[in-house]
Amino acid sequence: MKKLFICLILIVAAVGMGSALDLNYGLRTGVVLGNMSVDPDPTDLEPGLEAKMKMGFYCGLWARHMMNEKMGITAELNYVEKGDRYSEDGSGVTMHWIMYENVLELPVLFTYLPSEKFALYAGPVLEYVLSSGYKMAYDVDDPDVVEYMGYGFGEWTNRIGFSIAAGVTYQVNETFFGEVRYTYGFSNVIGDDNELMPAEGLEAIPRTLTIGIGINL
Amino acid sequence: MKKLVLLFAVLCLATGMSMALDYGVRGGLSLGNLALDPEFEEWGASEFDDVIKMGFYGGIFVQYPLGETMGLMGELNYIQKGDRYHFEESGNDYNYFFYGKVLEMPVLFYFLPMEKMTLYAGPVLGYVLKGGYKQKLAIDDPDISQFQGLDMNEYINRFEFSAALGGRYQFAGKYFGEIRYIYGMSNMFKDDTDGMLPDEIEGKTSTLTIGLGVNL
Repeated sequence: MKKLFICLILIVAAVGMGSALDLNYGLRTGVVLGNMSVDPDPTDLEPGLEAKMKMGFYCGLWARHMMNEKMGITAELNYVEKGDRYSEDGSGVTMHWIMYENVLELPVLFTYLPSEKFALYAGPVLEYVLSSGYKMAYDVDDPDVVEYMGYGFGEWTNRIGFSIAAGVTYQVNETFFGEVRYTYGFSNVIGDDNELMPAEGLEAIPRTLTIGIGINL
Repeated sequence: MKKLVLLFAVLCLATGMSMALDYGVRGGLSLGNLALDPEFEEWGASEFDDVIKMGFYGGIFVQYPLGETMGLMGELNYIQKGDRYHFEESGNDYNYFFYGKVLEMPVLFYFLPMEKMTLYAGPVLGYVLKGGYKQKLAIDDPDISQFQGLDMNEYINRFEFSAALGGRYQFAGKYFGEIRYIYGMSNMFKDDTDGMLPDEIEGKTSTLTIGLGVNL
């Protein structure tokens, strides 16, 4: 509740500032293909496991200030569902081991416009992890149900993270654009004193590809 | 099936947009409730309080004016419905969730009583993408949580029919604030859930949404 409130205030403040400074601003949303660099690698520990992607969702606000015709700075506030998935096929049941991390991202992106339609950008991302944990899911064929259980890491989460992001947007028309972005994480989401993870000293660092659409307001 | 429904909805909206109609996006919070029969308290969990389940919604809309002060509005929304039952004891926080993640296609009749205000009502066809229940225990010390649950794919009635009623208030040109109530009329659960839920259980969603939108 508190978080939502802070979120709302931030949004209103950002929109207010954007219109006051005569910035370009808008919304963005899409799918997240999540991956994590987990050390030690679960596929080594459990030979049957296969590394997969975790699908997630992102949405956010952006504001851009152009310094000259070609260059500018884009600041954003995004909610991103990161994580990773490892799966094992059995007879009539698929087992998924899912790490999840729901993040509030604050990227500051240096933006370059090589042509009218394209924008390239790269920059640092400050992250605040709202929730993280892991989940075991058993996808049963008959009856068709998914049984799952898991833990939220709570205080055993490293709340503040740091990443770098690079991506491209393509302007479809005046209002809409398509976007692809890769976010490379540097911070381990699992706290040192975490007692919930099967292996001690386990590290999980997010690597995320996002594909989505956005609008200029 | 899921993809077919989505494709159809996207096609309808694309047609609307290509006809140069007014369109836009909307998003916000959903406050979920579920009318259960028999009630959750009667399942042998009388210490639980019925509270609101917070969720999220997002969607797109097109408007087709029929006159100066009225018209039709078609939408495609993703909305998280459900309910939460809560019980707290010596720092332990027990939560029991029912959830339905629904793709909604409302067709709303709207009316503009004054310049900045829109009132609307109409039927809603929903497709339940995912539904089930979840138990969550949050502990104080250490501050962690444990959860388990079930996506009841086979025991969910995929199609949902509801009625929606709401209003919009336009501000700063293209933005609007919005409040809507969606009253579910169909049972989310199949009659026979193979003992996962009490027999002949009925669960009807009722959802209040509060959010913002933009005319594009």
